[in-house]
Amino acid sequence: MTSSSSTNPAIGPAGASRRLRAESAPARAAKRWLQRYGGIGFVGPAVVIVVIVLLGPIADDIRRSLHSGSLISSNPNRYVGTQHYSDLLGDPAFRSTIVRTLLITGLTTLIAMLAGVAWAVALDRDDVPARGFMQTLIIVPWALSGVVAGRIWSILIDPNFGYVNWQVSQHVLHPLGLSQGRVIWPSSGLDSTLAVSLTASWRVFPVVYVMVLAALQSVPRELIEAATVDGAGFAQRLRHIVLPAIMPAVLVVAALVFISTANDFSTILVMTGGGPVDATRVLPLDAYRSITDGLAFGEAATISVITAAMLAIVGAIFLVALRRRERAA
Amino acid sequence: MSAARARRLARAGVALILAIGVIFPALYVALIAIRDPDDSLVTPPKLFTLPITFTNFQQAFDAGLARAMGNTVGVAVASTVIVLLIAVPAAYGFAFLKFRMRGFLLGMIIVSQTFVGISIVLPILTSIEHLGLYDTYAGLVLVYVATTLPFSIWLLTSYFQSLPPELESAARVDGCNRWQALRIVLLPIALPGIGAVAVFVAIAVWSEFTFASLLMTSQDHRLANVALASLAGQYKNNLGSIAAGTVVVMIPPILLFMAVRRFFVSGLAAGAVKG
Repeated sequence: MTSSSSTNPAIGPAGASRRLRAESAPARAAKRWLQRYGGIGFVGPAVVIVVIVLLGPIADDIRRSLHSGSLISSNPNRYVGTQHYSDLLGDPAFRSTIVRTLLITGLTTLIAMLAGVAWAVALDRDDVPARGFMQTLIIVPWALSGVVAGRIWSILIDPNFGYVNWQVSQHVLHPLGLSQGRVIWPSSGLDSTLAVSLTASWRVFPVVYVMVLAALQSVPRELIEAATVDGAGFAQRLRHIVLPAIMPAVLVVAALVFISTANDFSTILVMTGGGPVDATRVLPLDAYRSITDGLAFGEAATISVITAAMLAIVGAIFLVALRRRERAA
Repeated sequence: MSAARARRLARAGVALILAIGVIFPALYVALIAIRDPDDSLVTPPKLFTLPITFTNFQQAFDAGLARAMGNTVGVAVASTVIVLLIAVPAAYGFAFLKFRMRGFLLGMIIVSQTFVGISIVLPILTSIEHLGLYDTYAGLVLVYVATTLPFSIWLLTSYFQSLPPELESAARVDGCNRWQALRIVLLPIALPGIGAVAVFVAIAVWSEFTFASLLMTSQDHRLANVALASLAGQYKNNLGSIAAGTVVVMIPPILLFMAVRRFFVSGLAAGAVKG
């Protein structure tokens, strides 16, 4: 082969070809070594950073979760084995927090996926008026932090002064007989759950929209045209051509949205603080509070490990679903 | 004919409902921003009130919003450039080179995306403190580079894999070494994909809150979204200044997106579909 295997950018093509003519045994050995391991030079920096800044902390979490870590105890470095795990998992309130985290995250992901896919399919045509304008405005929720998104929706749906709360109560809920006055959502567990899920999904659905729109570009136009000629309606084309084609991308985006939502507590922190009475309390909120209290690092690390393990399992489920689809296709 | 028209109407209807879901909150926040704060505390709530005022913007800027915006632009640009410098060669390596442990390393980087979030906050906080990087731009940029790397590498690797492999081998036959093949032949072609990744990283940094609030605590080093969130604690009736601050903080991402929107989707298209 012609491969000169030079990873030194200073040696140009001319130098490489000169060396090719006089190739000794050690040079051949070096060449073989470079072919096997040379690629590591390209990926090395990325691997080092990911290992140190992302995987190292998880190892550190596991170590901390096996030690006392309580700054009010006499010896914070005392080894306690799996005591933090049995304490936490033995607490019914914590067990419900795990289930609640999965439910709120699942609901948020579902709303974001439905809205994102619907809008991408609706706008995937050149004849939609003001398409560019609408695509540009979608950046607004995406570029806001969860804290600010939470504040904005708190303003919009405030039970006393919120315009959306007032309008929806007056013109939708009251005529339907569902509500007497305004919706006092902060005092209802179900309403609070809906409020934080809608706000969080409002913030992440632009990512879904953009990724699905990109995936839609790969659906062959001829296939859609052929189906139209054969008499397939919009719903049929969607079900039999478009959705199967974008399904791998949809699964990947759903996994990404689920993971980032499960890690994000800021919207909940500013809207409900986990209330009323734990109704919106989620794992990352517990971990964040243990960290900022600064008293129970062992417990914070244990919650972190449990969260990471939970998300790894969810990620694996999405991956299996993706592989199964690929094999079926 | 009428069936086609009905379909177009239905589609426009869906688009309209969804557009209202995004545009209305943004518009309403803009209206609160130019309203006397006391006019927000009336029942029934009004959509628009007169006279309009700009004191809310004054309050937001008095709280140091301009400085925080400058900090955020700096951190976002630095993080984006560094991520690209690391992720582009890595993605090239994963897409075109065969080497030991290639699959394992790529899998490891993609799986580590799962841990980006609350789980790494405590260890990173203590490590950054040990390294003397607490409340420094370098420390925060390091964290942002690491947390955006897995997604960037995943997207760029798919993007490179979607290019015809003959491009790279032809460049090698013509005498390019690997860095030259990447720089001269592949980079210009991959520009839309690289641009899309850059936008993702910049927006992720712009909207990040947890690390920004825990690592950059001094008044001078705060980022935009943190400064915006802290407006809440400063005034009793703060709806107006929060709204005004939100409007201001939104301007740079909107400008960025307007500039790149056309190639952004096509840049994503090649990479995103691989899964």
